[in-house]
Amino acid sequence: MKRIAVVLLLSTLAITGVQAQKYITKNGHIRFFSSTPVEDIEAHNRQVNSALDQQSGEFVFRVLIKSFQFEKALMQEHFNENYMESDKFPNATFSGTVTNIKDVDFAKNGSYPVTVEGDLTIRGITKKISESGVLEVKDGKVSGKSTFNVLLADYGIKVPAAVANNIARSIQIDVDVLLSKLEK
Amino acid sequence: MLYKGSTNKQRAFSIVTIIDSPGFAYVKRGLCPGGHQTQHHFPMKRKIAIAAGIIATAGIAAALIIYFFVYNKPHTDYASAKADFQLDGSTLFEQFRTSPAETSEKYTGKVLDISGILTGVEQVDSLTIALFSFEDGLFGSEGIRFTMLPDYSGEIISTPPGSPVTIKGLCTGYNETDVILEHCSLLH
Repeated sequence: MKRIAVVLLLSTLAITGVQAQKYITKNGHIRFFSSTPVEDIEAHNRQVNSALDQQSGEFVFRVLIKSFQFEKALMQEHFNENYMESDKFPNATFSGTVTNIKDVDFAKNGSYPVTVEGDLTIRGITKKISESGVLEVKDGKVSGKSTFNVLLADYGIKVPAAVANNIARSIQIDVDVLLSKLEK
Repeated sequence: MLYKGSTNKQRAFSIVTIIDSPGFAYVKRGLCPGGHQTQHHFPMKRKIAIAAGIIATAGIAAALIIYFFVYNKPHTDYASAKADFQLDGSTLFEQFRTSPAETSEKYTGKVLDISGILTGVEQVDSLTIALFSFEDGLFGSEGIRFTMLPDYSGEIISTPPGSPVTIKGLCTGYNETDVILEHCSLLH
């Protein structure tokens, strides 16, 4: 009986070891959306780097600020030069973990609600965040989606009085990544 | 008085009265472009109306200029933009990898004309991304990723991997695995 238990434990470890996989993408999509009665402003970045460790739940994102595309060239210019200072702070990053990664069965298609906690760094300022999202496993790929809000003031972003009515104080961030198993 | 409802005769009378009235007469003396001296009489009200008209027209023109050329100014046409630097892909990648901060300061936000060997093309949703891969890192192959402009997608898709190509685009930086270029066009 003891022997069977040891064999079972070793097999489990071996399987877990084999499954200790990373899922990655370099084409993740992040959209941000500011809505006020005066105008709506949105921008998209489709060159988002992201990696998820299936076993530890470690989840990281890295975004180049200059890769955000706006409908209006002027908004893009102001975003880079005045608000994000993208020459000085070219990246925004998130580094955290999926706290309930054990609830996600990567071998089975399905949709799993998850909580992600970690450090979000924008303009060189790091804040702890905890947001909910969904990981969807489908045919060996993992799609991650989350919508949350960030306050401009938390990251030292000041809005000039002249456009105070045009830009929301709380910006909605939509994250949408389709992660593929990293073949090694 | 020039109120609504007054007859044409009344209007004519009032204009004449205003022009003739010494209090309202405005005399401007000066030289015409021809050099002869002129003398114009402008009633103050008309002068104010003309000035108001000019200011309003200038205001509307300024508003239109601001709306079309500043607020709604078009995005840069990167396909016809002149490259700030012409570089070899592997040299650029190596520079970003070894000294990211200085290289980023030099090339980020600039239009680069990059030559190298096309290693592959990715198609994700509506995006076509041309790749120059140089090494295998923690997250797969690393190198330069060029997001192609829609007009150049077909051409790059039909270019076989291994072909020497030159691609021009806007460098948006290095994300610790790849150098990213947006709005790219295939030069040859």
